[in-house]
Amino acid sequence: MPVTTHSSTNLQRSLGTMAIVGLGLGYMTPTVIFDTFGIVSEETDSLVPLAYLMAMVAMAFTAVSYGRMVRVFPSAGSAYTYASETIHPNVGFLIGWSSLLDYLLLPLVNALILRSYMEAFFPDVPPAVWVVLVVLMITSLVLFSMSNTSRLNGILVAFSIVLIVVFVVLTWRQLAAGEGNGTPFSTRPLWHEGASLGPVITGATIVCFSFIGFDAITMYTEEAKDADTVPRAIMLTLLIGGAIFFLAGWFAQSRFPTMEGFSEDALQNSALPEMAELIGGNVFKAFLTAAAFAATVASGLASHASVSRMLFVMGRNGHGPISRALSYVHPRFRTPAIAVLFVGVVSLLAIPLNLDFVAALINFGALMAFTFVNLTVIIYFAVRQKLVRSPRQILTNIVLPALGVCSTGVLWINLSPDSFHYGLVWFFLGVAVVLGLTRFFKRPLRMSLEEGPLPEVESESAV
Amino acid sequence: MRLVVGYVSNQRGVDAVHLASSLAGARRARLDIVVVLPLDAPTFDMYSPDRAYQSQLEQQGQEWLDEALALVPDGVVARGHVVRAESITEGLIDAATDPTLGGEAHLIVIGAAHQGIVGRFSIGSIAGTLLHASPVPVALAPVDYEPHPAITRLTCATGLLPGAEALVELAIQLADDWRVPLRLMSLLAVGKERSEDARHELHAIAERHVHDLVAQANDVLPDDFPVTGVLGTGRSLEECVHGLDFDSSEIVMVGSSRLGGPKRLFLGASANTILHALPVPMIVVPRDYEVPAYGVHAEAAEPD
Repeated sequence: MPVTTHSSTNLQRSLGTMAIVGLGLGYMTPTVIFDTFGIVSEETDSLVPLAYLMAMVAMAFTAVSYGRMVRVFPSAGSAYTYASETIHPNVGFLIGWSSLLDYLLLPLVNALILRSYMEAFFPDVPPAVWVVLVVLMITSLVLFSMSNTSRLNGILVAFSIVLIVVFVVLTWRQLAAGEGNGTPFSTRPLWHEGASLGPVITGATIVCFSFIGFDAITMYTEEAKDADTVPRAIMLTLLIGGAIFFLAGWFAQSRFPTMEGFSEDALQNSALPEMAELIGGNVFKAFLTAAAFAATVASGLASHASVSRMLFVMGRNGHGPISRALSYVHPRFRTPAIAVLFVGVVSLLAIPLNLDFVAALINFGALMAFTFVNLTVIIYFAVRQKLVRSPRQILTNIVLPALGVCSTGVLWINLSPDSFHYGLVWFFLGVAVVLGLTRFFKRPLRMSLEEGPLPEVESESAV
Repeated sequence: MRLVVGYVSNQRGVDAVHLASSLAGARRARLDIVVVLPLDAPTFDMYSPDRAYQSQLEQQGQEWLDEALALVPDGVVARGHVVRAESITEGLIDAATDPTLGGEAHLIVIGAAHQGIVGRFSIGSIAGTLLHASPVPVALAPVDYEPHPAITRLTCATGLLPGAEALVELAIQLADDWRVPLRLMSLLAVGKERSEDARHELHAIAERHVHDLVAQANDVLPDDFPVTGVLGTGRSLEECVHGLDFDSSEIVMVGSSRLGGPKRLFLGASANTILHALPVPMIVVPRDYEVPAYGVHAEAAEPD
């Protein structure tokens, strides 16, 4: 009788607050502020810092809610799980489905940003060439399981922040010399005559994209030192990241009150290389682009590997030919090869699409997830646990998360119509999938992205 | 006798299990079938479902192991292990030296072959790296290797150069342990560029060499033990190998190169050539390999 044994080692980690904040800042890729600057400046009529401020307020409520839910479900951090466990598995599936679109599009966005950088340096080469090269490189690195960039992460974050500081200093000197607004102390980046709130809200929906990833640190709750680490880290990540974005946005906007003179590509894709050149000449352009390039490649590898793993886990949980294909593990590379290749093929869409559109589409799923995280706080604490007896409980269990629902909800419905429509198409596709999987609600849905079953949470009264 | 079998879920993995089963059939041996998965340290990638991924991957590893164990014929003792390591090679060497699994294994068995265009063997990348790093002999299964109830002959290939003592010693021990006929083979490749006299001289030296090897084996082995010697000649090593007969159920042993470090395998040019030309499985023995005690005494001392 054959015997089988495991001998796998589960590394016990203890991550401190700052280590997790570092991870979170790495996920946010701080240089992304320059990538979307052109798009947002055009959209908001030159009020980028205000757009960041608005987005940050909405994110802050959501960060508090994440902090609450992390304590309830320490072993599983995602909007999908929270909604599955506190509202209904079908609702959870739809949240997961919307997030899946984000996860699938993140590697594509990185390909797109890299394409943009290369175009700025080699304007004569057809952009499709760069997309194909980038996608080939990243797909093969992930396929041959050489995608672990966690050791590089800290260096890249530090490098990016240093260059952002250099950017601020150089910009300050130019402002002092009379360029742009002529001073960093003008309030024009926050408000000016003729501006209106509507476009700023739409701008805020775009800059939400810069914050994408700060919620991902909830997945490392079990690796954290104690129960307070992740709730604290998620807030700190948001505040530090937000401050970097606000400051960089402020100086950039002071220096470039309008986007006149920028190329079409800078206004639809990344404005980073052109801004860097105008601020610090060719040397600074090379440095900033190199830093952003490295950070984007690292982010591309990480997001490509992650979504492939996610598709693989879903495939192993599901049935049917698609699931079987996605759950294929290459025997030699021991990576989910078909899922990896599939993500690579999706990334090739970076040839026809632009950052403007894809970022908004990603925000559709992210904002929906954020709205539901806030909602699950109300449902879990106020409805299920009935913790509404004191003013303090009413504040933390109803008022704050309700403000979170409203602020993220407002951003959500103000997404650009194009991406909102495509987002809805994806959403209803998800509804069709739920109907199919549950045979019109006759069967329970069980699609787990977790290691094992979660502890039961008084689920007898599904809403 | 402990054999570590590297299982990869493809034809090469199947070949490895078939060869290991055939080797085990000859004598009481235990197979440790090993599936190597990548290390499961957290990646800290954004949105990476690390824990769910690792647990599903672990299950996939178990499924691969079940596939492998199903290939083992009745009567052969086999255990399965899913191990985690940086690379497949590293995982196999760890398993072959792990004291908790029974100490140093006698052999690592892997499927080595891609369907080569010219010969039967074309070294795959796992075999390639393993042959450069293994401290224990490595058995390589040719492509589509059919399992045999047992190995029926052991052929040990040597050249004229010194340094093959460990190889011959191991061959003698293994033949004794497996109770299979031993054939000592010397290969002599002499090109046309040599003069007639020189070729005759070399031929004479080689024949004497074979004769000495046979005598050495006869000294150690019981009187009636079948030991033969054979000299393969030709203009190239391929020709030498092709000129000899091989049974499908025999196994050939070669030594690793003098270029490798001590106790490390490294396939020299000659061994590599022989490997490509051979239609049968092959054991590559590291230089300076310390032959462990085989036979009844060793069996008794081995933990069960």
